Amino acid sequence: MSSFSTRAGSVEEPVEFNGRAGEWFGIWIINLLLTIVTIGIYSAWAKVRREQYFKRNTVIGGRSFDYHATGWQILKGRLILIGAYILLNLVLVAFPPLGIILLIGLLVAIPWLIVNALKFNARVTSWANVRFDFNGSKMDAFITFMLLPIGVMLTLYTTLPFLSRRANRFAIGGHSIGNHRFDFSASIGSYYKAFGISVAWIVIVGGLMIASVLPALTVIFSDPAALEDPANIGMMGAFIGVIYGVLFVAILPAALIYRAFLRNTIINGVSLEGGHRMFSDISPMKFIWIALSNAVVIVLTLGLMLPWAQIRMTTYLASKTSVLPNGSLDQLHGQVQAEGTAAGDAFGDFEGIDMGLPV
Amino acid sequence: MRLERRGDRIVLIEDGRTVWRDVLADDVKLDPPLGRTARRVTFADGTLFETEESARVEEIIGGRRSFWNRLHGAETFSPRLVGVVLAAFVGIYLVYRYGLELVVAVAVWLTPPILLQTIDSGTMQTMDVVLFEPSELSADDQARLTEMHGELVALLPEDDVTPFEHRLLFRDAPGMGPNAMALPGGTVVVTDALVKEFDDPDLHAGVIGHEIAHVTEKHGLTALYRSIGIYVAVALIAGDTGPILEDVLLEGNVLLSLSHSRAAEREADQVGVELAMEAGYDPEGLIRFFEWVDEYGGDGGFYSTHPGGLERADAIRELRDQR
Repeated sequence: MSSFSTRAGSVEEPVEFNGRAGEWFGIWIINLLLTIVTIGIYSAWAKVRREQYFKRNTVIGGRSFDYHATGWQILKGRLILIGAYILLNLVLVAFPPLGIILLIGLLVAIPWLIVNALKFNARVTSWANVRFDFNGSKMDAFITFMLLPIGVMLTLYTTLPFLSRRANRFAIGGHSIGNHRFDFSASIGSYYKAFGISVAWIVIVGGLMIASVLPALTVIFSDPAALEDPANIGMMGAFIGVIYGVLFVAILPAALIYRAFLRNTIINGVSLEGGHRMFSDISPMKFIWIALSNAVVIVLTLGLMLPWAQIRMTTYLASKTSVLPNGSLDQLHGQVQAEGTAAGDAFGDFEGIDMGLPV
Repeated sequence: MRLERRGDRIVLIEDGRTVWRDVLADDVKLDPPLGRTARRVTFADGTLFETEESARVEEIIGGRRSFWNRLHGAETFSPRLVGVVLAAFVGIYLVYRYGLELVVAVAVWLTPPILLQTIDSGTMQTMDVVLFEPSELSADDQARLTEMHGELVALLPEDDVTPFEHRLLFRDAPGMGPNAMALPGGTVVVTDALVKEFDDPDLHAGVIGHEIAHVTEKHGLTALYRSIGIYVAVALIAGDTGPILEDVLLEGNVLLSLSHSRAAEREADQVGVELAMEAGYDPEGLIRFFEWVDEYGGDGGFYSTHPGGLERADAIRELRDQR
């Protein structure tokens, strides 16, 4: 505990994760087989089992998380999404002039989908049998995920940390448990630190890779005659190879580095109404090592070690995360329990739409 | 806290005296077993009762012979899972071999032309920054090849014309040598070197015909959808693959799909040469080009996904002789 001093009377509550690789493998491989046999339909129920396995095995203060969505809800949401996609394309094929109107429709639909997906996921998730909720605004989602990314692109990504922080605030700050709202605050400096490290990786590693082929490239680029020489065509192979190499070795890992160095900042920025906080002290290098070695092991075992890799990562993250309740966790539990409707709120038809979000 | 069965009612009692809940058995839900996690009994009002005694609670509430209980048995980590793994591998192969092709075909069929044009203009913008320089060919050369391209397009059936915006662009591509490429919306790009290196209309017609065939046979779009399809299928079937593999699967795959597969190249050779022959050009032109590729093109890099030059030249000779 470096930067946080626990208040008098409060106890740091570790996050425990009790999942086991062998057990999860059995559930995972049956999920996989049934998904294939049912041409994808079972994947909705497989998702429920996966979410329940990870959430029920995550425990804070002796009370576990849970996931309450049903396979039918998830299947219905997915069918609606696929149906909408097919309809959109059919309309565009039949009446191309409608394209502009439909594009404007998408501008409205995407923030709506983002907010409703987060709301759905929150409302089917509980801790200690108290449901979460999400009340972020659609306008905020529109600004964060559609408008600002264009602005960030215009600044050549130098303002990306501001967008990341805004996305974190949108996703975390919109949540609540019982009537207790979550909040999020973090200094932009820590975002720029993570950003700087990942940019440095791209510049140094990518730069070295390009520098290694530069002498050869200069020869063919500087001399038009050499360019015409068919013998130099093989150079193009090397050139393309370097482009792919830079992508896989310099650029893709940069996203992982950014994530690794931001994790503590994000978790430490979480607070819950009533003075409760969270604490994370992962080692970014350890996180990167686990992610990289997981990827290698998964590939080498043709995917069979994927469940092991997932358990390994989740166990590590949980072991480095804790809750700092203001007072005791029992008090917090008592408060949210009194407010929470354990049965959860009623769901609208479209709220079963579930999609992955980069937040 | 104890859960008891009294006739058709389920009762929740504390200390054998205080009755907390007393409801009909039908209003109580026992969640399916999952790993070693506690069994959950949910009452209609949302009250949750958790217990580690899985067998006992099933006796009280029922559900021992349900689908989920049998599933739970099957999920147990045991040697029996080896059979499941083998079945899964067979299934994954079938999905890859047949399911993916079907979904990709439907997606290609559904794609509106406006999306194709967007892909073309976006790709050209990127390529112009990364790879290409403006063409240095004379206006005469450009006009001659544009006319040739128009001739070939004019021979296409109506169905192969309307969905696309067929056009020919010229670019100087340092290091790429004599080369050409096709984009899904109908854009064909030829490099300056292709025109400068060869003074051979038959060869040019063969290469342009080949690229037009990539467009009309929708090779680029198919490859793009295949790589996105693989990404979605992995996410759906296997779940979260972790931060590294996820990126490799999506971005890496989409990038790799820019180069065509061998089967697509053979098909484009055949369709393209037939088109050029129909327009009155000699298939020897494309044969000469492939013999040149075989001699100078090398095996790696850009040509690695293409079948060998001589092999392709032979295939075209065969096609010519059949005519």
